Amino acid sequence: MAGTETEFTLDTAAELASEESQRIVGRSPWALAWRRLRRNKVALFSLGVFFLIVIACLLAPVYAKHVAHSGINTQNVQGHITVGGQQVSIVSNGGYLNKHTGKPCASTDNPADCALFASIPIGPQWFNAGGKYVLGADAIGRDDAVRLLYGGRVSLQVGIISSAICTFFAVLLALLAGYFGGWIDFVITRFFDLFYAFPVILLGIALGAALAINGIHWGPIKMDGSNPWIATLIISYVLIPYVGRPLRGQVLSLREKEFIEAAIAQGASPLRIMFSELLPNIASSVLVFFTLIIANNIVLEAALSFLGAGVQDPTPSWGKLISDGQQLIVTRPWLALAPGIAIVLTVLSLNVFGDGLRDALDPRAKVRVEH
Amino acid sequence: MAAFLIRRLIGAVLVCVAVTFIVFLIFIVVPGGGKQGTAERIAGKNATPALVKAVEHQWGFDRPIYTQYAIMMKKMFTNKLVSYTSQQNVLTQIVQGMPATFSLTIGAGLIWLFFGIVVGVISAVKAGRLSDRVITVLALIGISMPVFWLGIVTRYYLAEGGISTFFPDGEYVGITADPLKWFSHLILPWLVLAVLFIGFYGRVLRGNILDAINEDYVRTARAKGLAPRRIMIKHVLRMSLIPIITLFGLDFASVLGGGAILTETVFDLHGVGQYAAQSINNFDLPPIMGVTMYGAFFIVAFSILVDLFYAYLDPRIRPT
Amino acid sequence: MIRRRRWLVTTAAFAAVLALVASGCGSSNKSSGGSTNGSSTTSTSGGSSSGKTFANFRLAYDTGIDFLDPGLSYTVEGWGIMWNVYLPLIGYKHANGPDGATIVPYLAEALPTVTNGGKTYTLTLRKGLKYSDGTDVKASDFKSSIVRDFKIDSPGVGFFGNIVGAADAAKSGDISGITTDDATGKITINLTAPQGDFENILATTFAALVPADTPAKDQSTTPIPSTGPYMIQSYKPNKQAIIVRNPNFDASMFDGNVPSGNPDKMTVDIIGDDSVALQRVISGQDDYDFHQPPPDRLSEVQSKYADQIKVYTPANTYYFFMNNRVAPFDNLKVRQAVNYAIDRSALVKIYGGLGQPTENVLPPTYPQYKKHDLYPYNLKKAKQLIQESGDAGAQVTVWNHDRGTDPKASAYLVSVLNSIGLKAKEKIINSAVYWTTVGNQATKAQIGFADWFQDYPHPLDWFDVLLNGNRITQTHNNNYANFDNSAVNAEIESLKKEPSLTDAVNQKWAKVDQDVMEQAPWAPFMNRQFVDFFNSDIDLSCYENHVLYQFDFATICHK
Repeated sequence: MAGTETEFTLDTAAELASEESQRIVGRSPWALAWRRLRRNKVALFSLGVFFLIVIACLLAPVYAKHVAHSGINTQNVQGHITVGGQQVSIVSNGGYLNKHTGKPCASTDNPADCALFASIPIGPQWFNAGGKYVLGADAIGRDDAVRLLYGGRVSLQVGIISSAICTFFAVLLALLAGYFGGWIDFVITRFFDLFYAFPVILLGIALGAALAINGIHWGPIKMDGSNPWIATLIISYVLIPYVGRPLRGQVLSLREKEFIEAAIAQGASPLRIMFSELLPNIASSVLVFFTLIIANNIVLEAALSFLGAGVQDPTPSWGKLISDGQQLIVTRPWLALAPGIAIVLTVLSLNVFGDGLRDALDPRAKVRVEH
Repeated sequence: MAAFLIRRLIGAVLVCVAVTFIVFLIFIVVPGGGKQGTAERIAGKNATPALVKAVEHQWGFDRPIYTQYAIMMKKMFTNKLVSYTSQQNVLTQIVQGMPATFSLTIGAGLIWLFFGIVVGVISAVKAGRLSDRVITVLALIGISMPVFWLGIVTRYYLAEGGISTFFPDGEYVGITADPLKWFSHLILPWLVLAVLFIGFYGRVLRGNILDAINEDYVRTARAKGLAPRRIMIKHVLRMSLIPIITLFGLDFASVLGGGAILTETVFDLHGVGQYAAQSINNFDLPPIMGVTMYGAFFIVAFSILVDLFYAYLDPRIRPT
Repeated sequence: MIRRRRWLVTTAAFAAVLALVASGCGSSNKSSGGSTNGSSTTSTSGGSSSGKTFANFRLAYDTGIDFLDPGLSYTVEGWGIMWNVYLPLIGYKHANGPDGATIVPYLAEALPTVTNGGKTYTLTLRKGLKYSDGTDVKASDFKSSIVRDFKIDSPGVGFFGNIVGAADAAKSGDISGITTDDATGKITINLTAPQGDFENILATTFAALVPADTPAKDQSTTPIPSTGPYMIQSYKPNKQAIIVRNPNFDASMFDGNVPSGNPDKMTVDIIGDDSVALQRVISGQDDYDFHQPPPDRLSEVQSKYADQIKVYTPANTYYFFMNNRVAPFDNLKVRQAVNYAIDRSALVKIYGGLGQPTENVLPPTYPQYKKHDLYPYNLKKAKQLIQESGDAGAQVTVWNHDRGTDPKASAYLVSVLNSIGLKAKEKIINSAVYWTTVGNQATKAQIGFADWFQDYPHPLDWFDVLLNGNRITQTHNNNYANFDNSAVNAEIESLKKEPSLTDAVNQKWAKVDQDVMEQAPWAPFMNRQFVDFFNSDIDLSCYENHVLYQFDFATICHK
């Protein structure tokens, strides 16, 4: 019944590993992992997709300058573009207009000729307008594709930095708890447990709301309420227990191993043991967690921004673009669809790659995705 | 069993006490700003200087920190927590939002549990085949979709006429007022909320089943010549489901305790989560305090129930 | 402290909810002056329009009701309901268009007689008035109602600050400037100084009479007995309010000034989401959509239900303020440059086209309005002025709040400022704290978004509140521009004493508008338009849009 027939390697690393271990003896675990990962084409493909997205977002200024010819915040309400030889307004005229002339209705006009029109930005031009307005414009005529790429920079930045901070503290706490045990472990695990009692989103918005008014004022650290770092910190903070607890379990079991006992017997300092003995042994799990947490945090950032507790205007992020785009979803659905698809692609690629990485490195590491 | 229950209850009470500390920290201590700043935050927008002064005094922000904590807890537990922006009692508002939140969560929970199990079993049984791959990919996509985006998009395409207006557009209708409408208004939110969990449960269950198949007791059963189907249902599935049930209990509690905030907001269901979401945008902190704390209490209480159920399911882990 | 209430077109599922709750340091009102586009309904309502009554008028309301207590409510949502429920001594005429600004006697027999150089107002209560619970209305209830406002820290107390003894009314529970006589119904109000808009202030719902024994705390959910044609039967916040006829109301006692209304009952369904509200009206669950239909769906609504839409322009002005105390806007040339640089029709487009470009302070619905065109769109001139000013390259922070369409206006402004040679960036903060932040001198907000919806139809509600240099305050400042021009201040102060708005006075106000704009403390850009949408059962020939309270629910009728 067990899946020996498989080449599809999302959860089948165990089998691959056993198969390989017969052939390869004496290589480092990282080389083995790399070998396994290399065979997982889906995971590698996903990694490729993720890097493509990152590169595309990094190239946002180039795209803005040479393809879209429009900056991130360049309004173009009254502008026109030429599509198929015809002049098209970037934002259509609105108001109470004469249906025939398109001019505002005067009192002399026949009321039957007048109708209410809303100003609507131009929709996706794909490649009909020479690279301009590929995904259409927003309400003030900004090029949505440009904003999508710039927004991606923010989303990725928040996702990656917050994951780094989160992972850093989670590892630190896990090492402390696992190594010292006793009351330190007790306090830290209780701290982790405690945070499981709060839904992640709710904790995020509670912090976001509490901090948004006055920002942070702790002695020398002063942050304004709209500082994007606040969102980053909140996001990194709320997920620490979700990474820390499983890592602590691993440290705890490593602690019982002979090589640690030996190191202690030799009189190695706790710091040394933690960082040169324990850390390398959980590094593979940490890497897996880090990857998957990035995915999770990108979604979390989007959710908080949607609720108004994340990245604040005028900074665009994918989450903000979705909530802005929602206002025009009936006439210009791409404004909301495009950033959503960007999130799904990014997160999917990270999840698939993270799974592959886990299979290759450490099949036991499980991270709880929540958003 | 009684001893276990008592121990568990004591633990839960301690966690609840700690929860109160955390809420106090988040709302009063962490943001800082001195007594005036804190009072301004609690009093909310448009607060007159007189109100800010009154709040400062009422909440004791001019007094030592432990007194502040005591005052806040007194307000929380004697149902005196009031939003200064809307002048409404927070608990009353939370109670008003409960029918919608419960309806959403219970319905979605049933859907995700059922489909999660179906998906997990199918993909485990067909591990490596095409159907497994398709399911795995779909599950991963489900996990990767922001729930609010899925909500916005499905609401537009399926309820507001993007493709059809088959589903009603948002709103919660009370089950007692009109059961049929209650159902039809909730289908879309249920599905949207469930998608993420279906994907997740399917994948967890698949992994559990594949692990369980290699366990000794399954090999023994197989060696005894039991029918594969019987082994699957009686041994493998039963053991694999136990972690799923725990997971379900926790997720369910978490969604009920406020995690459904995005779905409720997108579909305008007027539940507890949406109440919290609206309060953020009004910069009205007392409701967020209330929802956060009562939600956490609820989750703690619910996790005891889950533990009890867990102990009932799996005699091995029943503590002595 | 004049408060403001904003009325935003928002479409985000719950941004809508939030935007509509009173924000900022004040509440202005989505108030109307005459419908545009020729929907000239001429029905002047007076008395009961017999034969037009119908059973139930169902409103898909928004969540903006702050209170249903006349002493506390300061939103158009609250006032829209209550002006047919709680009557002041004098009030606005139920009429469509500018005529609605006329003040007529409600509970009083006649308009006040003003003596003592504009400092004493005398009125007499009509005889035989009863509250909806059957008790008699007494002259002393007026005094107790005003005192109650002070006791409950009503947002309206600022309006009554000029009454003798107002300062310690909250503490003493008495206000010496008001004397009443229950036997004769005579009410005398003494002011410390003449006040040209005092009649308007007597006409606010804050001055509506409630029984003397009304508890001095919010009574929204335990409705206070009413004096008007309707009474509030029940109110469940965020759910529903039921308004029914007041059995003790007799329209014939009011000289036709207060119509008895057509619906026997009004069901106010509170709906958070604007597309849900729209859907409810389309499907017939509700009769009237109080929300603004999402601009996104306007064309659909227009093409299918053109006859069920009314477009109107309430008295409002959207503008960018420029802080005269902070560089570079302490320089007239820079301020003028901004005025030349913004393309007002582009800004109107940003608001979906629902608005009219303006360069005036006063909205066009005012009789004092006289269009001036000091700053036609001229980017070249703007650039030139910036060069001449010597402030080219100056760092500028554009402030705005984060709700609805407004942030897009400041995003536009940033783009424009950068194009004329300034270095602009945006600063967006939560709308809940925006007005207090920019209204605080410590913030030194250079330039930012603002809008104003009138509290009552009087030029003082504009110039005195927003542009009188003598009224600049350290915090909660409404004069965001810190505009302090001694000539203009003097003009405002002298016009303040004029008890009535004669043509000559109106001319002077029009000149103030021009004088202000020559100094360019603001860059006004738009008078915003709004849409009322009804289901097809409603007969819009009865539609009336009041200059202050907007669509008048009470005079609508069924087909």
